[in-house]
Amino acid sequence: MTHDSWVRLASRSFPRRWRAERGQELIETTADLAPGASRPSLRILLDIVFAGLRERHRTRPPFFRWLWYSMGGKLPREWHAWMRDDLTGRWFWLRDGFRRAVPVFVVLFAIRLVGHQGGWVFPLSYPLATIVVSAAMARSRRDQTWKRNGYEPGGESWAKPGPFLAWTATVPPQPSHPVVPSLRAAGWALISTSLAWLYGAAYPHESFRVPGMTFRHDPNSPITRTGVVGFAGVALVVVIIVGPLLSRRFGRKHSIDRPEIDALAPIRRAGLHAGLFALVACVAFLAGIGIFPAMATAALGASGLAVGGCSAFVGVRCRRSRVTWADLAIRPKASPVPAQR
Amino acid sequence: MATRKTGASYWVLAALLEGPAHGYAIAKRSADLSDDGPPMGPGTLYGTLERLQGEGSIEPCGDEVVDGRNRRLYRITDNGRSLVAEENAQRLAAARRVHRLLGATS
Repeated sequence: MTHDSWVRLASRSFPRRWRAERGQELIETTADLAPGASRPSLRILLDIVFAGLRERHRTRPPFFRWLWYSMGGKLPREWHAWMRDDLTGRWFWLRDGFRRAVPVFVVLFAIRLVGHQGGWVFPLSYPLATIVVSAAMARSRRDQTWKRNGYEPGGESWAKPGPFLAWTATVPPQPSHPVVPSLRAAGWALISTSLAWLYGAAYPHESFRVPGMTFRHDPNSPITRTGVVGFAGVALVVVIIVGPLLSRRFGRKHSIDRPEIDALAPIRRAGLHAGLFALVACVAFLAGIGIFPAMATAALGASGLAVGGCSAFVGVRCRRSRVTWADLAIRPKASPVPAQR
Repeated sequence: MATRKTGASYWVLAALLEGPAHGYAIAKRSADLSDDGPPMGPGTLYGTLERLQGEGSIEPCGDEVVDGRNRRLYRITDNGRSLVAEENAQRLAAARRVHRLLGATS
């Protein structure tokens, strides 16, 4: 590796927008500081790496802003340069999946801790499915996020022509309605609670508590398995039917088509949602009753394959286009997002 | 009241008091002024420049070609000048207090 390659590698710790503006300057100044050296010293490399990490930390949204954004909320314009890097990054699909999966995992893991029972399949099942689905839906998530934050397709491009659209700021930004992210959060809470009920019902001789509620499966308990299945059914109806209807009613101004899903016939679309939900519920249920670790492992593997199969189906069906590095070449002068100052 | 500058910010601003300079020259001038070992690392330097430019304490003022390489020049703004003056006064006052203590104990 040449001297410049070393510096370029270390400078990956800086945000991409920073590298686009100052990356070459950094390389050249580093070469000036150690003329003739075949590679930079370890001190220099560590200095670049840590400075980059500090810069990333300094220019990212505060935790609660970030959490709100992760749930589908808007970011103030101050953080749009960070958002641009997030949305156009190569690993957006994975970051997005984790952002959505981690809160669900925390809730399910807490339930597992309180329940004193069960393996890892229960807390991991839903987050795993979330990541897989996010991977399939990355393009629409990205488009929706642009739209929600006041950008519209077209205009002066800072990305090369290709499958990735250019987005231009609309003035003023479109209003946000808090009901949409709140609905999403409510949907997740509902699903998580129904899974908790399933879990409680699956342990005939155990009980576990969450604040304000005790789950115990005995003949006198008001919670029967039929009730649990009914509750899960209600959750399913809410997530599949009521949620989208309300979202359409309140969120139309800043929602756009989801090409991956819209390409499917309505019945297949509903089937896909129902299939995903049923799979994850089955996994949680099997984990609950799984006395044999091998059974739980097999259930996890099977659900992974099935959910992966579903997402692959969606992906192939919609000819999901991949964004390459070349598509993301940044031209700062034409950027619709003012550099963060 | 302005926030207290970190060491790197103070020395970068002080270096720019001599006139506009590019990154390498700023690092060299800072090292000469502080008389504190080798120049600051390039990561620290450019992280500091980014922050100071964001605060409006410095600004780019053109490019020049040195040894076939294009360099961006930076200059200090009035805001940066007042910040470095304020920081300098604080450091002088602290040094005087320590000096008095040294005189009292010797």
